[in-house]
Amino acid sequence: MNTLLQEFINESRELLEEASQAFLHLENNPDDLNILNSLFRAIHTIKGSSGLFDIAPLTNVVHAAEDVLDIVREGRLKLSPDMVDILLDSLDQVNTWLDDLEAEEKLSPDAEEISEELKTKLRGMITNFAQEEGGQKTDNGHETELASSIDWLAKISEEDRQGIVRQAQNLNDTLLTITYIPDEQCFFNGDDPLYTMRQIPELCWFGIETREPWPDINEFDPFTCLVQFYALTRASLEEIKELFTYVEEEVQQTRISVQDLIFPQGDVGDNEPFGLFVQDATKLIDDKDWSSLLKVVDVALEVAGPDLFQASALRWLKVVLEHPSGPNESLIKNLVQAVATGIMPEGEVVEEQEENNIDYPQEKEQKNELTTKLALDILRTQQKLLQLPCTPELWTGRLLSIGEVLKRSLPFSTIEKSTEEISALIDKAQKEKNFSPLLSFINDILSSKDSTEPEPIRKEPEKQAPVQQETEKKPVVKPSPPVKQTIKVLKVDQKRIDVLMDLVSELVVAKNSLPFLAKRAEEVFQSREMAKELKTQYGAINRICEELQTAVMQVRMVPVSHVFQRFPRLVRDLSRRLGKKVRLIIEGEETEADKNVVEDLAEPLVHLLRNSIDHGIEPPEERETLGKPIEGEVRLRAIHLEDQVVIEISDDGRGIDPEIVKRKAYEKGLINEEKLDQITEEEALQLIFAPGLSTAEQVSDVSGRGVGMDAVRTMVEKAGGSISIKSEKGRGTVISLSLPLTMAVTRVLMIEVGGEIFGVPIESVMETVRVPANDIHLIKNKETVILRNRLIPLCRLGDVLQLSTQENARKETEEEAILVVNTGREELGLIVDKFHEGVDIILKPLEGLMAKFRIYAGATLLGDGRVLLVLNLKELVKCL
Amino acid sequence: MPIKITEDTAIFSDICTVEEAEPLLDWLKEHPAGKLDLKQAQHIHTAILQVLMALQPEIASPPEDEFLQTVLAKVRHKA
Repeated sequence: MNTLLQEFINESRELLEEASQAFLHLENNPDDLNILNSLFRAIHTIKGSSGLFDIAPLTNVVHAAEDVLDIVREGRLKLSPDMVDILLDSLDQVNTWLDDLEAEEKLSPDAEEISEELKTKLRGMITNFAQEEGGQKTDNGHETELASSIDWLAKISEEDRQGIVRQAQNLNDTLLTITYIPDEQCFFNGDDPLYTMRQIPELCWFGIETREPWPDINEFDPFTCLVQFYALTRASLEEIKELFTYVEEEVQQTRISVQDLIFPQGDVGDNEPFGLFVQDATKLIDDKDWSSLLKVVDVALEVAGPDLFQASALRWLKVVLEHPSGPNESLIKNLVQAVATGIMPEGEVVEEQEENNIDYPQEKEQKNELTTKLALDILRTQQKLLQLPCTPELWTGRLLSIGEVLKRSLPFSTIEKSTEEISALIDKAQKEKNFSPLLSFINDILSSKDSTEPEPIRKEPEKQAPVQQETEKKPVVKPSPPVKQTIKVLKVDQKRIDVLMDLVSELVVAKNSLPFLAKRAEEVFQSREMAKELKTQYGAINRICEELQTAVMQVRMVPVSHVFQRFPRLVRDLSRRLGKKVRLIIEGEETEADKNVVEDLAEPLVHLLRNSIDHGIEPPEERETLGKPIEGEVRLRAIHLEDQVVIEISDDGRGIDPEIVKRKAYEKGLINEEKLDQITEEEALQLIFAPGLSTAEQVSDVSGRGVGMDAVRTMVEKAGGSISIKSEKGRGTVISLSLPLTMAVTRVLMIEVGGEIFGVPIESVMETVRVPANDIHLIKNKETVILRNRLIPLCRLGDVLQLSTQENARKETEEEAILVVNTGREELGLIVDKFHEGVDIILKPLEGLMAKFRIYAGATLLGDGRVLLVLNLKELVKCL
Repeated sequence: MPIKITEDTAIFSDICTVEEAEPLLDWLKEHPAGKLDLKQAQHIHTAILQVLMALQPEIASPPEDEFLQTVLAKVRHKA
């Protein structure tokens, strides 16, 4: 498979796991922003990476989930358990798809359908919420209403802007601005920002700019995206959002009005030459004589220097007057005022505020550093204006306009000046026919603010090329160089570790041949010296080998949390479905064991947990009447016990009644009448692992336990472990699984039967004894022996394996070598020919034709090249 | 390859992908006077655009594609 896809699958699985954990955690701590953020990041990353592959249904679902989370993260939506259900379902689906992807490299055929369904559900959450928000804006916060926040509008040339305005049907039409700052590494994600720009529907204008000046040609890296884009479009927000779906976080959209593009630019020259024009224009506006006004404008344009602000305002005036939608009086007034004062009034003149369509900052708008900074900028401009010479006819207009600007800007800053104060000042100035009260007022504010936060000297923005402007910002924009981090954790494919493991085992085998060689050196070649040296060398190699083996084992060790972490989810889902309240306590999840062991644990544990919750924990009402806490407790505990890892699942539920188990077992014929009387409660409990007692309905009425208990036991035993149960009626049940820490190395005892050597796993061996032949008694025609007051049935291994030849079958021996083994339920004595030493081996399961001989657990190579078959005693007993 | 490099001209055609940014850059580094023929180009990847923006090579024939024309007009230093 494509490595990229494999990586995506692996990574996404991890992220999904992380996400579902976060969800569960969130249910208890809905306000934990850290978790929300990490959750959002996880989903966001999956969405981002999924875009690389042709798996749109998956991407869509993740995207929809991301949208929901985004709103939650902003604190605008609270997650309800139902919503978490939907989100978790979505994650599950994504997980399933990942499985499909891994298996077939494509999604299942019904993916599209499922995706739509989930998407609708997820989107439904947003819609519901939007309705709750009651008419408030429903977009997800990327859109702000302030056209002034788009600083690049001023970079659009006047010509371009006028073109757009001319094309607009109506000056109140809206446009969408798009600020697209692609990630520097976006090319590596397969993005082509320019291509995306090309696809913007109904594009009116676009701009391209570099974030920083191009570096020296030798350091220039074309694969680092340094360009950013701006665009104006008539398309709808939905269309744009869809286009930028995969780079949503790199894009900002803002809705502006066509009118927002109307602002004059240029050097503010002397107002005087325009005095006459302003007088005429004001009169013509009052008369609403637009055609004459247009003529006056044309005349004024002829005399004005084209680079002047006033000329620009006049040109705009012309555009507005000629606009097909008809003259817009307030705009015309504003532009005339701009010609008069050198400032374009913000918004519209006061008396027309009622029908105002431009978005004003509202009182609720936050006063913050940014707005204060803007206000200070405005103040500085006003200060300049007040100092400019002024003709008497323009004087009042300028005073009022400056007053208006102050009244509108200061309340949004942290400068505490009331509008009344400003009005009073203007009145005063008007009476005195002097700007000085206003000027000193502004000076005071500026000097007090400047002393606290020195402002950099402002440069004339219009004269600079965009690129240079960006240079100014460079220190702010450029992220700090990433600190080089050395990778401390390696992610390695398990296959590679397995190969390593195999090699180690081969080394162990190869090493084991050295003692044989030493023996040969001594016996065949009569060289004692040589043999001795070989043995010394063997000692050294042996030590390194063992260390190597331990090291590889260590690599394979993983904490059981790998399995445990999925249980909170399971418990949550189950308890919700069954209407029970259950608290899951996990202890010792850091306990480590071999990866295979940990993985083998998962399935039995799921069964056991399900049983505990389904049958063990009582419904809340029942618990209440019993005087137990309403919330049931299920405890999952992992501990190391010597070379075993023990996992306990305990609950405080109703427990198991051994009487009922006994009776059931008897009814099923699993035990006979005699045993029914003798059996201890403890033994009776173990009966629930018996195969006959395994189907759900049979056992549900017994004690509520036992769904697949037989299956659980089989699974645990297959992993080389054992299972036991303790229960107290009414108090709860404890089930312990004990598993080997590692399955990689098995210690076996070698025995010889009929000339063949076999291995027996050391954990099954109870003891090895030699008993005189006459101590073996025949009971009911079966050989038995009494060892330390225990009656142990015997069996001749040679007979079972059909290896006994005539001569050694009934050879009269004085003693018999007996290997006493525990096969799980009872002890058994195996009569063998000879005991050999114990060896550490790496057990390989039998393959091919041999795989069906279940009597063998596996095989390994011995040092001298022989194959050692290892017996599976549990299977062996079945053959007796 | 959509970008064919002749002795002194790089001839663009169809859609020029990200893979071609580097060879183009290398060529332009070695041949600072190299010219570009964009006539047949339908689209150039942003990475190639960056090369054009940073190095400002001479363009022998402008692209026929309207969008590319506009783009180039915006990013080329005025002669």
